Amino acid sequence: MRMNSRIKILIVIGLILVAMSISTAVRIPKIFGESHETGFNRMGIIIWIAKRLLYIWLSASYGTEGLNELKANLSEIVMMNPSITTLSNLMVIVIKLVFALYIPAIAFLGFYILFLSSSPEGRAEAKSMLTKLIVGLIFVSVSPQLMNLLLTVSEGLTSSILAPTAKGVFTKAWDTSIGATPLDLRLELSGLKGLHFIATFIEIELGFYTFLFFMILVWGAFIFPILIRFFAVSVFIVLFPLSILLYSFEFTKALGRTMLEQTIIWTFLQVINALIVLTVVQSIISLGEDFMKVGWGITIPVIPLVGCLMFAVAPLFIIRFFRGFLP
Amino acid sequence: MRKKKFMNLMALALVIILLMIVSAEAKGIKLESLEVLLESLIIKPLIRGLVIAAPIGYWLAYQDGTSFVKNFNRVILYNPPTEGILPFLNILLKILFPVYSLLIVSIGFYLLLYSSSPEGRANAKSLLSKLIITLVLISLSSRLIWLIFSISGYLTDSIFSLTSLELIREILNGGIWGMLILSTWLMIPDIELGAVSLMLVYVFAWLPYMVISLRNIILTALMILFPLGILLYFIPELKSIGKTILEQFLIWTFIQAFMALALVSVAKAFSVTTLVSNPEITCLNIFPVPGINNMLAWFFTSIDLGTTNLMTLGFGAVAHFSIILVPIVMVLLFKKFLP
Amino acid sequence: MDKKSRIFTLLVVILLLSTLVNAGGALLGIIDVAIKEGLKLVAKGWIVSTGWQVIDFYEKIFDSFPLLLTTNPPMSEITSGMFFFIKIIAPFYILAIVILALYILMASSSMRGRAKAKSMLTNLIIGLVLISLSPGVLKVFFIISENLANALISMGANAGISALKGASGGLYEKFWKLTLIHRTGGIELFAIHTTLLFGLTIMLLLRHVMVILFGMLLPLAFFLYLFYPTKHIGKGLFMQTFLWTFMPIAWILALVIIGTVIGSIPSYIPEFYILIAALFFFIGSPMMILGVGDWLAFLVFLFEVLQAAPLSIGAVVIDETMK
Repeated sequence: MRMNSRIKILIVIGLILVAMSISTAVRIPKIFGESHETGFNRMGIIIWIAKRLLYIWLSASYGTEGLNELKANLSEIVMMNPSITTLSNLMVIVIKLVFALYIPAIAFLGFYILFLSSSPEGRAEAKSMLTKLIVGLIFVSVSPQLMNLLLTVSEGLTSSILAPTAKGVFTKAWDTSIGATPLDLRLELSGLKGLHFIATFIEIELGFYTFLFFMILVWGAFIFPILIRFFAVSVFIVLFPLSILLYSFEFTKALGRTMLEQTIIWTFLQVINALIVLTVVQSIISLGEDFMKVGWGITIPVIPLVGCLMFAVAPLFIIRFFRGFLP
Repeated sequence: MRKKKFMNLMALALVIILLMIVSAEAKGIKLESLEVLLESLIIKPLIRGLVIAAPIGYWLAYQDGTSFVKNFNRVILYNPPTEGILPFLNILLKILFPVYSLLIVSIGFYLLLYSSSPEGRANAKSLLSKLIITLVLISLSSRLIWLIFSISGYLTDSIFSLTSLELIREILNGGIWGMLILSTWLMIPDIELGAVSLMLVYVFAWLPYMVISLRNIILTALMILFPLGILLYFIPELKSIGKTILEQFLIWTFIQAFMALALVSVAKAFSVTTLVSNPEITCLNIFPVPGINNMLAWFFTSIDLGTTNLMTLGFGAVAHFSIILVPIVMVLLFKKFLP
Repeated sequence: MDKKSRIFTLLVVILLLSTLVNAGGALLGIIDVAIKEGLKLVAKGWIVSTGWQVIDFYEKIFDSFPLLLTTNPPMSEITSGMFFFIKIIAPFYILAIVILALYILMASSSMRGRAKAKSMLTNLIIGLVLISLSPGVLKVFFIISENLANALISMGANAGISALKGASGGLYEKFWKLTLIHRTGGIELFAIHTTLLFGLTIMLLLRHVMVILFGMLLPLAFFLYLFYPTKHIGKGLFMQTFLWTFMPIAWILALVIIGTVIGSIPSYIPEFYILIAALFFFIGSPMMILGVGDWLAFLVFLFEVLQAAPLSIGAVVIDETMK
């Protein structure tokens, strides 16, 4: 009962409040036109500016999260590969499964050749099939070492491309394209951060869209060429025995071929990442940083920006490009 | 105990605010921010909720927002009328008849009088039969089209009988209403939260119609080209073009059977799938303050209004999307199947 | 607090406030602004809590992941459709067999013609057996896929599912931090987040629908495989059935790999990136492993269609007084 009466009181108060605010609402246009005590106005403007600065700081920090680590450890990040030891449990399970499928097939073929072979063509076909299966079996049984070899080759190529490259130029490209704002305690307004700074002061939602630029640049640089590749390479290392099995049989050859191609492409994406770094560095060195600048008051150098963008996005296109190169 | 304390606090806060307003009014100072903000917190959200729910809900319930849901079987079964082809057919026949008759007569003469080698005779015979078949088929083409349409229509109708139409209607309805409910509840705090869901309401209302209209337009065009396709099929050089026209005609006709099959599959999947947790979106999600919850519960518990759950929403969306996806999959799969 | 003391505190507050009001407009102005910001904070908190309710609503699909990935629709639903198609195919079949038989008996011109017709007849009879066994074939697919899925899930898919949940949580954290600063600050992030989760739900449910669809078409697939011109269509339909039934295996494999490998990534890479990459990897894994089901493109397309709405609203709506 007390609950009910309290609620009733609340409802009454609420209704009074609403009635009063409606009566004030009628007078809103007048309110906007009037000036207030000066203290109030100043405070409002301070709060307005403080909010925008806080937003810029927070979104820029989200956008450039991990950038310092990327700049500091570029070679390690590009050469990052899964270790076979972590995946060894899974690989063992898949190898056992594939063995379990191979052995009956080979036994059946042997039986066929020895006892049931009718025509010479049939025998020859069965013999070639048998050789294919036995070769496949050998590959499967050494697949951990084979995968290790693949990863080592890829890492070797990558480091030989990355070592002589002036990585400092690439990291400087990131710095130039991202730029700086007064919030970084520097007296300049440049790059994407500068654009973001100005856009947020115009309208916060516009600021969100400039924040999306960061998102594609920095998040994309981490996620697509490096992290997704890491996961994909792990998956295909584990599935390697299965893809060899599928490749040996005519019926499933297409699926096996797709999987083997994907294995090779994702592993050597590392090399392509390194090549992109090299290309960007060389083009910046040869064209000079002031080659093209875009901006109205804020200059965003285009070559470094495009270079960073390529590093983030090009792997996606390369994946689509290489198809069907195995027999 | 905590609830009581909280209610006490809220009562106290309201009293303080009320007193502030009263004293400010008495003094003549305009506390504009307070009152305007209060109304932004109370009045504008209510207005937003009503403005989204009322017109669009009215559109869905009483006007043609849910017309795909109500008429989906008729719309999917619709085929363009075959009479539209007749003018073009007549023109084609007017051109074709004299030329082909001349050819047939000349081949006849060739066979009767100039009979040279057995190969020549066999060639001429096959050519003759081809010409005659072409003429016959083209003059029968409108009947032929009607036959293909009725086969497809009969097939679609019997596919629809595999499951109850009411179940499909319920799933489609649940999908579009669920999206509206979700977007209303989302738009009350801030209008942009619900923008994506509101977009989906319109997508669900219009996209199936767009796909089916696309099919009808393409089918009409292919209907007009159908006699031409038959003609080209029997001319050796241009056989591939004729084949393409005929194949596309058959594929786009039978897409209606596949759309029906897609809806039937969705209905079957809906009746057998149960999710581990089937959460609901109701008004109680939007007003998390305990006091207001109780108040609103008075209004909404007796009416089953404004609630939707994950399974209805998910399957409704899947049903609408499958109408678009299945024709794409079928057009990609069925290629080059005529001899 | 009993009634007396409550009334007493009320009177004290009224007294304080009246002195405050009489003290001067500036102090009232500052209290005014403070209350205004406080109320705006309440409004933003309302936005965040509504957003959280909806995100929590969508996230409940993660609880159903094991169920949706390891089970297939029961055969009873599919067999009715299969028998329907078998009934449609049967007349054509019988017609084909009768025509062939007649051809062999009467119009047999050459030895090659007869041999060809005989092999075609054997083909047709094998096809008859296969078509009538198609429920069995589908059941075998289901059994293999379910057992494989169950075996794989026990190898650590739960770690993968918690990685996906972590990605969703990371996005939500950014959303509420940005929204507390300005109420439209995190709206697009919310749109991306809900589109991703909604897309996940649709992916999982659509797979069940497709399994039923192509399962029902399996007799048709066998029938089309037997005749030369339509052989590739039959093969295509059969492969679609196979791929949609085994798509959860790709997903579960992705989850297991995520769970296994996520610990060995160097720790200086921010965790949020790793989780988002795991989410994208999960969505794209059928495309990578099986070569089918380009969900990433579908999701990108869905997002492009859907994000036109917030963009247009943001540009058109003139901000009211709550700036």
